Amino acid sequence: MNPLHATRRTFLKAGGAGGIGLILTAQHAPAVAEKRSPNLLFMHLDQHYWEAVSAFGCQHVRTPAIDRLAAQGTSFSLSYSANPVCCPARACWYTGRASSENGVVMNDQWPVAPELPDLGQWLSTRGYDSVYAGKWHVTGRNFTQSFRVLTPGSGVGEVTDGSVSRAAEGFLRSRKRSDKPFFLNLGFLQPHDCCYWVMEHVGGTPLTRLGSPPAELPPLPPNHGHDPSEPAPVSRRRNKREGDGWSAEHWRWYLWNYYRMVEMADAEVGRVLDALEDAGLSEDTLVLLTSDHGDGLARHGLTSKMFLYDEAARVPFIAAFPGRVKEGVRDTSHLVSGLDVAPTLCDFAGIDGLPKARGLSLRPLLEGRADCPWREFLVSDTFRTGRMVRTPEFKYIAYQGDPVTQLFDMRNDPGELKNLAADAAKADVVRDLAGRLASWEKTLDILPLKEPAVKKAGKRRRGTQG
Amino acid sequence: MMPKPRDWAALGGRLSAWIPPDGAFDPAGAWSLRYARHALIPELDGTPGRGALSGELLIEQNPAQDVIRLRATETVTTGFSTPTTVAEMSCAKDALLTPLRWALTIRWQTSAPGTVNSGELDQERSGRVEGHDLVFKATKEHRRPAPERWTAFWTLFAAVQRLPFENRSVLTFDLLEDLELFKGGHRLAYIGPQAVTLGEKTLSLHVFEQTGHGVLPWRWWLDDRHRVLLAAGGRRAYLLGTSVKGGAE
Repeated sequence: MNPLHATRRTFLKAGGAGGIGLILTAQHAPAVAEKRSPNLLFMHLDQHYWEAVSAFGCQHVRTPAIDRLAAQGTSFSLSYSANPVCCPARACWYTGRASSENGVVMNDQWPVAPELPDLGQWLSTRGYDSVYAGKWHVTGRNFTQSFRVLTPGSGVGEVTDGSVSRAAEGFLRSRKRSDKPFFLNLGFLQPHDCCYWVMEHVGGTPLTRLGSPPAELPPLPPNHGHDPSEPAPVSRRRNKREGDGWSAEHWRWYLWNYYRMVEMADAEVGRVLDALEDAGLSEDTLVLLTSDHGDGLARHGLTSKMFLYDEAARVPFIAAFPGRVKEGVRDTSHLVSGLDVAPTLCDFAGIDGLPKARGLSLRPLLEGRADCPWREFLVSDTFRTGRMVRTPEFKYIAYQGDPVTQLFDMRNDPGELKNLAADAAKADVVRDLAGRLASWEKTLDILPLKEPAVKKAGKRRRGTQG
Repeated sequence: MMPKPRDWAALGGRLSAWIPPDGAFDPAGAWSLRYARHALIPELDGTPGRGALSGELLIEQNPAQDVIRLRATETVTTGFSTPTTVAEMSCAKDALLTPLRWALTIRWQTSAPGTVNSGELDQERSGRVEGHDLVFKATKEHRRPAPERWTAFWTLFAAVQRLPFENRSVLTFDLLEDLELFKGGHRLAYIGPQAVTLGEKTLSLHVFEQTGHGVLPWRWWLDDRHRVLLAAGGRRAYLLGTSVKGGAE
């Protein structure tokens, strides 16, 4: 199906590929040209599972800054990474194209298609000061050619996230009214440092703490166990050394440490929000906050990402813009994808969208239009062989060449414990979702997968770029 | 031989030329201590990394009649950009050395011309305790209730040196990191003595551990003269420099 020639209904059924974004953009374009384009502040965390926010009910973490942003705007509960690992997720944000189209199907080795513009370039040529601080990690593209870079990131959140927020703070406070509108991107690394914690405790290495454990050590999650017959790409991840040899105390300490890293990120977000207010820019700025992917968080016996259970794939997505975005709304029904970032930013900026962007502008939802048509399902990838179809009710996961597929009833089994794919009573659901996946794949301009163009370094420290 | 505790092992080869300071030290007197700032990044197989340098921190203490004056100068190196923060603090003479008044100057240097305009990221900030409030000034002035007990991260370098090496040495407080970011529910407590073998030398050190929201546990390693030799968190550590005898300037 060519998205440019399909009806609105077929676009929605096809998971909201590019065409619907253009339709909605046109529908909601201001009747009178706005005097000045809004500023855009796009903050992304790294490895932040959507639920690890106190405002969303997590009892083990304190996130006053993210809570504040959620209270000031609209947050989406059914928000998914387009491809839950760093480089692919980021390439999807910045090109607006699915991984199999932009070429970045895994970390580091496959570069982004050079002909695709990214958001930095796109907004720079449309009147914006495109600025970046922190982690970029879109393979094959030097971000200094797309943005004015205030400070680069490093591989360690605890070491440099503070510099990212400090740079943003200085940038925001030095803005003058006469300056061009800005598109400020902040790539925070936390809570990604949890990868180092895993590495330090590989094989059940004794815990590094010296004192007594805190009383509030989180319990093991109810879905800590796993289905032994799950697809091979997932069990291969489990069979890596992550979590191997860990005691229950290791897992619980892992969770406790993860939540502290989320709090580190939250503090940096708070510094930026304070500076935005202090500089008098809040009223003129759309703020988006999300994460590239989540983390296993001991659920299904996993840490990290690169699989399609909710813990890795589901991420926070919050938008705030006083007077423009509905305040204090927690949207639990609309499916949102990382592919929606680019259309949303372009829509609020009042500019044309990135070519063939696959996502949808969230603007109508954010402005509270109850009658807004929306996608019936979304698709996320992992590498380029694993795909997930998510509807409000179900999640269907299939890996190319793997005989095991998965179907979860997400309303009654949010922990994804019972695979219903072989349940005869659900055969129609499986058939329907597999069909949707096939129709969605047909809309893509898939790049042929070549041998990795970027060779991995010999003994790279994992996580420094991941 | 006992394996090195994680905080020391994580510094990798950085310790090969490191000489523990000697000489007298008075935690309550005038002193300056210069620390190298390290990133603690393990290798893929879990073995310690190289403790890559990521900047430095200079803490200077000058007692005055009514207050303790502390100055922290912290430089962070990240690729082509290097922010330096200078924090001047007048602190109460209490166990936490609670800041009463402070001024921060933040200056950025970049080696990538054209990315940042001159002075674009520089900042001046200040703050003070006023009654039961904290008053922060950047572009505008903001006020918020002061926590019952609080202190900064930089002041802990001085405060922990004043604590006796005994089990009742416990501080509870809220942390105001960078004199800007509140992180609640902190507890810093004496863990006990611990031997650390470096090469052929074994040091008898004392350890405090700090836990709380918004940080990974910090461990503060002090020599028997109460001098902080190493503060190590999750991925960040400050190791006392040895360029000057005694580690002090």
